Amino acid sequence: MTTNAQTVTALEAQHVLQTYKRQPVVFDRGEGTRLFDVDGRAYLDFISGIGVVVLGHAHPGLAAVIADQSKTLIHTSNLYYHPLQGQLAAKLASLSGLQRAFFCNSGTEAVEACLKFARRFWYSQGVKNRTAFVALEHGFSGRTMGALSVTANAHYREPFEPLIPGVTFVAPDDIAGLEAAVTDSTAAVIAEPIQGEGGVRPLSPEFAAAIARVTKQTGTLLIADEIQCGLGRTGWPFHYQSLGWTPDLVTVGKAIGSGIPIGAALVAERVAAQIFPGDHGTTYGGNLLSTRTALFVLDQLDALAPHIRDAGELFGQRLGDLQRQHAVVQSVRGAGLMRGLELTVDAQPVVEAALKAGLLVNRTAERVVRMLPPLTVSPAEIEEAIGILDGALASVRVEGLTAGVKA
Amino acid sequence: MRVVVDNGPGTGRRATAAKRFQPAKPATALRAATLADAPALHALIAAHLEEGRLLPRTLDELAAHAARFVVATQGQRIVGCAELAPLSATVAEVRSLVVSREARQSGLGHQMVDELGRRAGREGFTRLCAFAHDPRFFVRLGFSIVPHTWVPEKIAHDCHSCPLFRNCGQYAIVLDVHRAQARTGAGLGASVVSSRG
Repeated sequence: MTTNAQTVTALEAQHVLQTYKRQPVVFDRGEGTRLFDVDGRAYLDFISGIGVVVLGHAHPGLAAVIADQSKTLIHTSNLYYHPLQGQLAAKLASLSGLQRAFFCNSGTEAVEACLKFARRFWYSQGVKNRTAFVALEHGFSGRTMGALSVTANAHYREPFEPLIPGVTFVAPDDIAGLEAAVTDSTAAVIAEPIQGEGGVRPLSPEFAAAIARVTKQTGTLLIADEIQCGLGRTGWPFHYQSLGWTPDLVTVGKAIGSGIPIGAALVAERVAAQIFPGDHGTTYGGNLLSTRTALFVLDQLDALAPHIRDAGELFGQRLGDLQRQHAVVQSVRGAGLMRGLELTVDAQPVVEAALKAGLLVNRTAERVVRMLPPLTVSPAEIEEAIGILDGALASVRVEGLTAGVKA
Repeated sequence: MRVVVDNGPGTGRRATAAKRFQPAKPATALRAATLADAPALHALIAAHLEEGRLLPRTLDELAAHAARFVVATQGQRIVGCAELAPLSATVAEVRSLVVSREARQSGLGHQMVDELGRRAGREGFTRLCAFAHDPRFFVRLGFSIVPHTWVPEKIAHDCHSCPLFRNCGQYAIVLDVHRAQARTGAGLGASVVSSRG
C-alpha cells in the first residue's frame, strides 16, 4: 500500500467502528464497470457494491439527474406531498403487480416494514395469534433486530439475542418441514427466490411451488425478498415472476437507487386494506432525491432488459466453461447477472488472487465466489473477467487439491 | 368483590340429560413418575418404538432417571410418558414422548409437554428442545424449527457420537421456557424430585 492508502486505513483504524474486514484497497473513482484505487490502478468491478450500482459507476445520466434534483429540492419529509413518490409507486406496481409501495432507505428497512405489515394484516382482522414467521436456512434479510430475527445465521444472531420469538427455519429443500412449520399462528413466510448472501442458491422449482401452495392453502402471507435478485438482475423485473408466485409483500433495495440509498416494501391491495395511518413511518423514506433517482434507474432498466438477458446468458455459459476446466469448481449457481461459483475449498484465496489481478468478486457462504456485475456490463468485460478468474482458479487449484487430501 | 371459583372441567358438574347416556371416558391424570413406574415406562416405550420412531431405552436407564418423567394415567394404568432430560445448565430436552394408542386424541401429549415446560421453568432451564422426525406436534405447541447447530448442547451431548450425525432426518425444535410458561398455568406444583444429574 502507498502512503496515500496507508493514511486512509490508519485513520479508519482509529476512528471507524471496526465491524468490517475490508479488502486492502482504497477506491476513489469509478467509470462504468471499472473502479480506480488511490494509486490510479484500474479494477474490473464484478460486485458493484453488492448488486447496487446497476448502471455502472459515474453514470453521466444518473449524475445529471441527482445534480438537477439536488439544485431543486432534496427533502421535505412525509408530512407533505411531492410529485415523485406516486410516480415511482405506480412504476413499481406496473413491474410487480403489487398495487402499493412504502418507501424507506434500505433493503433491511423494507424487510422490517414487511414484517410489521404482515403482523398488522392479521391484527387488523382480530386474529391476534398469527404473529410467527417462517424463514429459510441460508437466508439473509438484514442486520436490524426484526430482519435479523428471520436471518438464519447463528454467527450474526447470537450476540444479539433474544430476537423476535417464534421464527421457524426450514431447509430450502424440505417440503415436509415447510408444511410442518406453517401453522395457524404463522403470519408470513419470507423467502428470497435466489438466496444471495447464503451462497447464490436459487430455490428449486419444487420447493418454490411448495411455498406458493402452502401459503395459499393456509392463507399465510408470502413475503418475496427481492432485495438482491430483483429489478432486472436475473433478467426478470422480479425473480418471483419466474417461480409463478403471487406474493403479498415484496422487499426492494440495492439496485433501485444504483447507489443512492432507497428501499421499498411493495404491498398487495388485500394487505394494504388492513394498514392504516400511523402504522409505520420514516423521516427520509421516499424523499425527492431518492425517488427521482429511482425513477431514472427504473427507466434505464426497462431499456436494458434485452441486454441483461444476453449478457446473463453469456456469463452463465462462460462460467460453465470454467467449471469444466477447473476441478475446484463444484457448481455454477444463479441466474442472469447474479452468479456464484461454488468451490470445493474456501473461496478466500480465489477472491484475493482475483483482486491482485484486478477483478473484484466477493466470497460468501465460505466456499462461494459471488458475482454481481453492473447490469450495463459488456460482453468484452465478461470475457476479461472470465480470463482473470481462470488464472485465479488455476493459482489455488494446487492448494485446493492438497487441502482436499488433508481433509 | 366477586369471587369466581373455577373447578375446571369435569369436576363436580351435574351430568346433563344429553350426556347421561354416553359411556364415561376413564379419567386421566398427570403425575411425576417414580422408580416403581420404570417397568411400565419401559413397556410403553418398547410398544411404540416403531410407530413413534423412538430411541430404545433400557430398563436400567429408565430406573435411574424415572424422576425426570411425567406420566399420564388412566385409573391405575400408565398411558403416556415424557422425559425432561437436562443437556446443560440452561437447556433441557423433551424425550421419549409417548401416548398409547387407546389414549390418543385427548390432549395428553400436549398436557405432558406443558407440564415439562413448567417443570423446566422451576428447575431454572431457559430453553426446551426436542428432536423428532415429524415436528408438527411440537410446532403446534409453539416450538420453532431451527438448524441443528443452534442446539450445540445436544450435539455435544449425543449427536457427535452418533453414526447418523448430520444425516439423521430429525428436526431440531426449540421453545423458550418463559414462552412455554406464558401459555400454561401452575400445573402440578413442585415435583417431588428435582434431579439435575
